This record gives sequence, C-alpha cells and structure tokens, in this order.
Amino acid sequence: MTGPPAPPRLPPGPRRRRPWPAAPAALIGLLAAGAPLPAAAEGVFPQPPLVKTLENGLQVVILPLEGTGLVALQTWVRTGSGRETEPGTTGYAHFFEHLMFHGSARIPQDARERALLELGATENAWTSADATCYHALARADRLPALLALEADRFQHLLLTDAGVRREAGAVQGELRKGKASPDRAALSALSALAFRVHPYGHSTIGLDADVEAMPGGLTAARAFFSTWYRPDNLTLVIAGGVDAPAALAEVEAAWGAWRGPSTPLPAPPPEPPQDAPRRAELAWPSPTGARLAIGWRVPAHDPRSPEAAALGLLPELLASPTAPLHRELVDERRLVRSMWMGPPTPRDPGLAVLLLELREGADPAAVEAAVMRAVAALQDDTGADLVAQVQAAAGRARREALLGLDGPAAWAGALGRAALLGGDPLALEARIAALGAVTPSELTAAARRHLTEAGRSTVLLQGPAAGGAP
Amino acid sequence: MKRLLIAIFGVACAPLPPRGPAPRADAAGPVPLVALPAPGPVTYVEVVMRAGSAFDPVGQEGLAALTARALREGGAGGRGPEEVEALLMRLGTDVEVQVSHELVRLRTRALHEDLPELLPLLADMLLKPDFDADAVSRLKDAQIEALKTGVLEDDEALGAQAFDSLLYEGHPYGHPVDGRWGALSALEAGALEAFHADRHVRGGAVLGVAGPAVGPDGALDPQAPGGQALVELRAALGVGLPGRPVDPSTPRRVPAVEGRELLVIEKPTAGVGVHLGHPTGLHRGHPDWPAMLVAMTAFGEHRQSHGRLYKALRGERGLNYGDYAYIERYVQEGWGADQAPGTGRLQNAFTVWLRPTAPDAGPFAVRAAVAMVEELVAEGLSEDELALTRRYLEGRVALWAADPGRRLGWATEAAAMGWPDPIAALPEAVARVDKAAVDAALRAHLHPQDLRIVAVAADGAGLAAALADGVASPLAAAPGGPSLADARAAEARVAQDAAWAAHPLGLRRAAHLPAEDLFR
Repeated sequence: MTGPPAPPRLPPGPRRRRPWPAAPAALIGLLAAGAPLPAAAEGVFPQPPLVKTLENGLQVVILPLEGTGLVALQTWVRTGSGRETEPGTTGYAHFFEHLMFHGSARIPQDARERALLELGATENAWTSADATCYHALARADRLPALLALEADRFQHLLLTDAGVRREAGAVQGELRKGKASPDRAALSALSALAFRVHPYGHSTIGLDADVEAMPGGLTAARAFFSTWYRPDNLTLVIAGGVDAPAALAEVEAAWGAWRGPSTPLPAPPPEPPQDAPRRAELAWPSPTGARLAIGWRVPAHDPRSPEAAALGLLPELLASPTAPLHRELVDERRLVRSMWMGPPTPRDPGLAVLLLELREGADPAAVEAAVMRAVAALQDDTGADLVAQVQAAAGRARREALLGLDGPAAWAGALGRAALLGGDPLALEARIAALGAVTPSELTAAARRHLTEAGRSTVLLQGPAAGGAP
Repeated sequence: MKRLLIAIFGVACAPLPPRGPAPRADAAGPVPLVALPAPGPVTYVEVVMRAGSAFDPVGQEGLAALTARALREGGAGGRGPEEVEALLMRLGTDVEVQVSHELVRLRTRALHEDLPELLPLLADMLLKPDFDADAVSRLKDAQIEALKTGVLEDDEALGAQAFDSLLYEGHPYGHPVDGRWGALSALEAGALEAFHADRHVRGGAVLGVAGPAVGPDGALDPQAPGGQALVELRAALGVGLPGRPVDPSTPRRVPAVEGRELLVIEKPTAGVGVHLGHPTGLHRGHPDWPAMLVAMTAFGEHRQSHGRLYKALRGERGLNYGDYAYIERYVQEGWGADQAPGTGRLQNAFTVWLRPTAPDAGPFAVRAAVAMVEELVAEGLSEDELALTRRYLEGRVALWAADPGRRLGWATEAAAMGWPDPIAALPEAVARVDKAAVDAALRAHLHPQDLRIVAVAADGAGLAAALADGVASPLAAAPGGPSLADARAAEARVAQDAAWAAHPLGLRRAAHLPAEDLFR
C-alpha cells in the first residue's frame, strides 16, 4: 500500500532525464480528462471502450486490448484527502487504503489473501488528494474471481476495533517515515499556506493529531465508509484481454445489487480567491539542500476548457531538461540539483506546484528570481523563442501521453483518471489531441491569467548547512 | 463465503489458457533478433550487449557503466549532446541505458512515424559515439558522487551493496555497477573508446523489437509502419558492430563462505537493517531454478505479504515494514515492485532482507530469521504451501511482463544469456515442481551454517555483543502485533518468541566499519 504521492526524486547515480517507463506521468495525471474534441482528433483507443453507469450509479469502463493475456482491474473511489471535511478525520481516505485489505464479514482476511494467491494476482492501492485507487493485475481469465473479491470487500468490509488499532499503527509508522523527507515537508507547508478553507490544505497522510488518534477511530471509520464508499462514488475500470459484454455481465452480477444511500455526496467548502502573495519559511533540523516550493492557484481541471491543455504544458516548459529554466539553473549555473513540477490537473480549484532542490551554498533569492523571469517569459507573447518552445512541448506532451499507454495497468489508470477529473473516461482521447494542439497564444494567455503574483504561495525550507540557522 | 470461494477457486484451478503471442528468436541474421508482435501505435526497441560491470578491467571499476552511459549522453554520429537531447525531447521519448553486472541494455520506444528519425540515432549511439569530453566529465562526476554520497544516504541500498561486496569479494561482482570512486577518478583519456571497441561487439549482442512491424512468424515486415527503419537498424548493427565474439568467461570463482560472520556498517541511523545469506552459484538456466523460485516465493517473495518471513516478523510481530527472501539480486524497475528485466546474474546468492527494525528489536529479528532459514532447509515446504505457491506462480510469472516493453526485455535478456525465456518457460516448469524436488534443491543449495550477515546500524559493537551466543535477545513488546484472543495461540507465540530470542548464531567473527570507508 502506497502513501501519498511524492514528487519523483532522482535516484542515486547519474542523472536520469525522465522517469522510465512513463507510468508516473500516466498515473499522476498527464492524461487527465480532456478538452473539446478537436476536428482532427486521433483515435487513441485500440477498440472503443465500453462505458456504462449501472442503475446503482456505479460507473463501469471496459477496454478490451489485443495481444495481452492479462487484465487490470482498478476501482477508483472519488474520495481523496481533498474530501475530508469532518473534524478529526483528516487522513481517513488514506486510512481506508489500508483497512480495505482486512477482509469482509463473508471472506476474512486470511481467506482473501489465500484466494489472491490461488489467482496468481497482485494488488495494491494508492491515495491522493482527489481519489483512492485500488488496483489489481492478473491473468485475464481470473477477472470474474477478482471482481467477486472486489465487490465483496466494498459491500461487506469488516471494520473491527482490533483491525483499526493495528492498521493505525502502520499509518503512524508511515507518517514517521514521511516526516524524514524535506520534499514532503515543503509540499505540506505549501498546501497549508495556500488553502485555509478547502481540505487541500492538509496532506494526504493527515494531520499529526488525527493520525495519533486513529487507533480509537472505529466509529469515525464506519461513518467515513458509509459516506463515501457507495456505488455512485466509484468508477470500475477493466482493461486487458477480455470480452467487453461478458465482462460487463460479470460486473453486473457482482456489483449490480449493491444499493447506496440516496443522499447527495457531501461537497468540500470552496476556497476563497487569493488576492495577495503568501510566503512561509521552514527550518529543517538536519543538513539538507534547501527546497523552494512555489504554488500558483489554478482552476479545477475543466475538460471543456482549452486552457487546461495549455496549463498541462507548464511542467514541460518550466521543469523538463530542455526547458530554459532547467538549463539555466541545473546545467549552467548549477544552483539547483533537481526540479519537478506536477501536472496541474486538480479536481477542485487547486495549485500548480514547482519544487526545486538547491545545491549547497546556492542563494534561494537568486533561484526564485530566475523562476520568476522564466514565468514572465511564458507570459510574453513577443518572445522569439516561445513559439518553438510551445510547439516542441506540445508535440512532446502528446507523444509522451501516447507512449505511456503501454499495457493494461497504464490504460486502466489513464481511463480512471479521465473519469475522475471530467466524468467522461472517453475524454482521454480529446485530452491527448488537445495537448498536441496548444498554441503559443493559448499558452501565454493561460500563464498570464493563472501564474499571477497575487495567486502565488512560496515556501522556503532550509537546513542548518544550507545557509539558514533553524 | 463458501459459494464465493468455490467460484473463485473454480476459475483458479482451470487449465492454463492461451497467453498472448510469444517472442520469437532468430539467431541467423546479421545480428540476433528477438521479436514480438504487438498491436498498437508504439514500437519498442532494445539492444543488449555482454558489456556489464563484471567486465570492468581491474583498476578501472566503473568503466563499463561510464562507457555505456556516454553512448547516450556524449553525442553520436556528429550530433552534439544538446542536439541529441533536443531530438529525443522532440520525439517525446528517451534512450534508457541500463547497466547491470552482465549486460548493457539500451532501450527506447516510439510512435511508428518517429522510428525513421529515432533509430538512426540509436544506431549512431552504438556505432559512432562521440564521447564528448564535457559530457563524459559530467557523467563521471555524477557516478563518483553516487558512490561517495548517494549510496550512503539510503540505508537499505547501502546494506544491499555492502552485502554484495562482502559476498563477492575478489569476484567481478564484488564492486558496485558504478565502480569505485578512486578508480573512476584515475581513468585516463581513451579508456572509454578502448572499452567500447573491445566489448561493444556483435558477439553476445541481441536486438529486441516489439511492435506491429513484427509478423506472427517473428520476421520484420518492411512494409508495415516503421518496418523499414527496423530492418535498416538491424542491418546497420550487423555491419557496424565489430564481428568478434565476446569471451563471457571472466574468472568466475564464487568465493566460498564457511561459518557465520557478521559485518556491521556503522552510520547514524534510527534502525537496524539486515541482509544475510551466501552465494549459490545458481542462475536462471539451472535445472533447480524453478524449485528454488517456488521455495523463495513461499519463504519471502519481495514486497508481498504472504511469505513466511513477512508473516512472522511484520505480520504477527510488527517488527518492521517487510521481510523477504531472494534467489537472485533484486533490482527494482522504475516505480514498480517487480524485477527489472536485463539484470540477471550468472552466479547468484541466496539472500534474506530484513527491513529496518527498531534498534532493540534487531537482534531478535536476526536470530528469528536464521532459525527460520534452518527450519526451511531441514523441513522444506509443506504440501499445502507448495501447492498454493505453485498455483500462485503459474499466474504470477506473467505479471512480470505486464506490457510489451517488459515482455520483450525478458526474452531479449534470455537470448543474450542463453537462458530459457522465463515468462514462457516458468509456468510449466513450476507446475512440475514437487515436494521432493523443492526439498532436495533447498538442501543442495542453501547452507544455513555458512552465512554472511550484514547489518546497517548505529552501534556495531553493541549489535555484535547482542548477537553473541549465550546472550538472549528478547522482544520488549510486540509493537504492532495483533492481540491474540485465543489463549493457546498466545501461549504458542510466547514459546516461539522465547526460542527465537535464545537461538544461537555461532558467529565465528564479527566486525564493524564506518560506512564512508566502503566504496573507496
């Protein structure tokens, strides 16, 4: 079970240009839901996916793939830490990522584990601010059995005091492990700085006090489960060597009788607009390279807005190895060891985040000034280089998105994310086309509108050896 | 529940269904080809060569990795490093260089329409590398930095590397793939060119292709999208790579291990992480490999919760994040949990990995793990354990190759190393493993009395003292363990804890050294 996503760190050894394979790009959201279908939309689906919403509200997406004997099954719960509004329950979306492996009233944990061994399947889960995703991979003929196991735990999960206490210990261990990471600390501080009302303000693992109180959280866990784990808050994605109508029949048999509450799903309170820049400094207790985390307020990822695709190029234009800012800070001036930018595709109005790890002795003010110059260059439609940069970035983004669709799990992840962010999994196709079609003027307009000084939050983390006394 | 489980097992016990298409090997052409038909817009290409770090000349440790990386980074065919970078960025892809002990692997993937631009670049990287001096210098610095500080920052990687270095002392596997930083610093100009000329040759090289230009017969179809560029790449490699065979038989005597010895790598750290085991000399082509794979999967499959070690130490006692056992060195690929294709070794080791425990629980964990290894060898697997693991692996092995790139990687590596393609061969081989075979393999290849134990810990002398015979290592409390309602189970747990806490290790030698001194 994985924790909240962290920015990719460069592994030890010579610098790697890009992660390979590109699964993180596919999973983290480069392939987020789309823009209006351009006239020349290309067909990215090898076969048309079957999309159906069952009577109980469960969304089902099935993509048959040729040439593989495997199937990926992913259950996307449209609840991540960004839906945790009940006081005292921050971290519960992630807590369930653990609790869902405890077996059900009908199939206890041991029997469930044994069944998965019999199937030769692997499974795991992850949680982000916007979703919790349970994913399994197995031989394609195992799908009916996987579906039965999955349907059983969602409908009959066994939540016990002992189970909650034991799993809370594991989450507390994860929290302690995460606290050793300056990247996570900087990003958490940035979220807290930028969001005062919306639950995006706390990290996925949860607030310290809430995680400490988790062992006694059985009642809260039951309430959380009944609030969010209901068919109309789920998308089930199946991709692989399956027959779509037969797979749909299996889904209906296993999931169709499940009835959720008729009450509407709770919505988080909207974050008021930000009208002035915000800043925070953070002392790190041990020597580490300084971290500069900058976030700009961006709108909810709107699949019908051409702007979304333009914003999707920001990671390429600011933080990829051929970006002018990367060349300046990493290669030429050697002020920065690594830089990372997440795809700005939040489900609610959120942040576009740029994170830089500075080299020892580098002046944070000089680095920040260079970042702001690079942002200004994106906003300047008279810049001579911008046209070529945007064209290259657009072509690259489209290709990377297509190349990332390289197996059942990657396809299921991309379809699930499109469904999460736009409601329509088929918008994946339009999104890829839109990424490749962004024009320089669209990019400039998006950068002017959203990369504003007033909407910026900045966190500087420094250790004792990085120039700042904590 | 019964009906549900019957439904599940009913499917699980069905005979093996037809799998996806299998790669075909063609050794007859200008350069051996492994080809896999794969529908879709993407073509995967890789070239592997027998030029890994085991072929580093003595005193030039790290040269194989540096040379391979410079193929990608140092410019090619008259294109400078920046031009190469810009082209790859424009195509939205990369040429990834993977260096392991035996193999160098260059791999890429692209849309068909991009192959005519990408593949000539790949050919030039292999045949006309420029070894740009600035790029080589930057790569060398990065490699040295990785050895000096990178490994030391990650306790778990440090433990694995130190274990390797101890196990294979004096053997070509005895230094990290990145080399030794002293040797790298002293490399002279021309060393890369010489290594490239000597080791990047046609003998031992294999070209792997997966994509729609591969016909069902495994032949490249020049009329198919991207097919002509692939045919030309194969021809270029056949003409351009020097036609010498490689000598794969560098001195390969695996150092003998006798008795049990402890080495503690000291550094400031909050936990105690442990690797223990010994070389076996086994490789994937050995007849006992399937039986040993079954045994290690049941004993402690990597990052899975069903193994004996994991259940006892993490599951029941909550000592750490996980406990695993290996028949070969595990190399992670990307963010996944499965072994990276292309990283197999000719001579492997049996390894138990205990992820960091709290310092006071470390000695108990070591004693318990050693006791469990002894029990495994003495008693083998139970019939139920064996049957379940066999069924599991019959499905599980296919998941190692969940996309065409990984499927191709396993087949290409197998062709280069002369091993059976594991994805194709293992399910049937595993199905034939019976209790007699697995028990005999365990007795033949595991020697619990001859173990190297490597720990990363803050206090080496203290840990050595705590592992001496006659000293007990009781658990203070089971931090994350479940409360046992069943009194008999609780009693059995207490008895088991007491037995493991006092389990004698019979260490004949214990040593500790500072982490900084390791990879000089």
